[in-house]
Amino acid sequence: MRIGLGIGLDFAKKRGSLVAPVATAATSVTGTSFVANWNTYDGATTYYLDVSISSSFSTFVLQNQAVSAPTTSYTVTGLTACTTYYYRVRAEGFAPTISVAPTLSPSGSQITGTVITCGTGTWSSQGSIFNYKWKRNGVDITGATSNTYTIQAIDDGTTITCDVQNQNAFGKSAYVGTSNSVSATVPILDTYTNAAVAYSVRKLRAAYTGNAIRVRRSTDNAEQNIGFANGGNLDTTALTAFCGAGNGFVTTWYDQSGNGNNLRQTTAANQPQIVSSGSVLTINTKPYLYFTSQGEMQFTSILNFQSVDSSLFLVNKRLNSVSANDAVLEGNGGYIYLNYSTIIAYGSNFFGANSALNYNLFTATNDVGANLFIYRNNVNIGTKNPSTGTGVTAEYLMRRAFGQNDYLFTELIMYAIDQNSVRNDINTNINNYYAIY
Amino acid sequence: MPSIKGYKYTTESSAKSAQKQCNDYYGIPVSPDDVTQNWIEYNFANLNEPSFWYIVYNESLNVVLGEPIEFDVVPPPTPPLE
Repeated sequence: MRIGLGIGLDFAKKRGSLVAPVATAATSVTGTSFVANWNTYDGATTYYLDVSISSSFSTFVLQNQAVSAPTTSYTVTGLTACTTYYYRVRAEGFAPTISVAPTLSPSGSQITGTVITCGTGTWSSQGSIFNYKWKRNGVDITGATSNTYTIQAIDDGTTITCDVQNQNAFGKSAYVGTSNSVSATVPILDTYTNAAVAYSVRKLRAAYTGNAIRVRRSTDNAEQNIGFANGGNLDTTALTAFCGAGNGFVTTWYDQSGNGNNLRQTTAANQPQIVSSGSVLTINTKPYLYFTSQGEMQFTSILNFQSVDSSLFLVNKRLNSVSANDAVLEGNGGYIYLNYSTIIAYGSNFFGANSALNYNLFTATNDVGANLFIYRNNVNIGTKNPSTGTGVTAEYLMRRAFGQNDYLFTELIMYAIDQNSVRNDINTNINNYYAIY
Repeated sequence: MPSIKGYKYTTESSAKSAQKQCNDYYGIPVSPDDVTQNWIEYNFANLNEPSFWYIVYNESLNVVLGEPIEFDVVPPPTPPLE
């Protein structure tokens, strides 16, 4: 038996488009049978096989034998020995149509610098070629045509999506595979620059490449740095993997301002807790540092905002009322009290009480000798005009010589400038992340 | 005057010795490069008469330092109110 190859054209039974795949050499040839083979054709759903003793296929031994893709062979039997047979194959298929829309990874709210990958989605008659169009608020982003997109500063506040086109040998779809969306945000310190110190459980600056915290685990007291996951959130997966079923305590809260003024605690008993029995401590789904009555952290370098403009943005919550005097920031006689008997103090400027155990965003903006404004959850609770006395010095976050209430903290940003003109915008940014008020 | 539950020492060296016992028991520091260098901190009650050193109690200390006692510590002066 000799086997020849043919190419299929002018196929009568036309449903989808028909094209000719490449037939390859027969295999398993015997006196009465052989296996016809051909190459895969992109997007084919069915192959049709003809076998003939005529190279022009004027007569047929086998005609229109259907073989469902992805199978690319067929055993032809019942043949006559010492005869030359020819076979040809045609492929039937359709242009792709979308069945499951592509998804973005990661999705949700993401920050500048995050690389977003668009999946292919699932298609009927799926071909091997995918084309992408990224969109910002529904408008094509020039040049963004790969399967990945890196969030830019220009994307701040916009919605990013990706449309996908699929192509096979029978044709291509329109850009109908529209993905889910990503909300793009710029880290707060990229907009409101030049912070003096900045500590958080989220990434505050796109260019910051360091870690968020360093953690000691209770099981063996080993320490490890913990960074950020996609979206600029604390990498809680790494955190819980490190702590296992035990507890985790923060030895270092890294300064993201670029000034390297980390908060540290070298004594185990005074370190704030962040993992309890294998679970990350959270408030409104965001991790927090839990300062017990002995919890205290020390700045690497003393902050001195005496006689200079300053601004404070602090997210915390007092958890009990076992003592009256809580110096949230203190050093060398300059201090911030947020629960000082019946007053709040910023330096030697005094305001009304903070008696409630609420989750608070405290804001202070001090234009020395002019205006000092204190806000709680973006509501003004005190103004000094002109501001008086000393400014703020800070050597400790939670100075335990003066108070023993438990607190949780999620963020602290300080500037050596008066940020009152953008105070509302900064507060909004912080509140959008932590859902404080 | 706040009452403190903890361990009271008449000399700094005895407070430091207690601190070292805790460090040895809990294997602190695990590595010289670790931030954590002590298990517990001792404080100086310099405003008491006579002055003394003390360690504030937590439950991890029982096994090392035994049962705590209660004593008074004169707090530092608070910053002046308006």
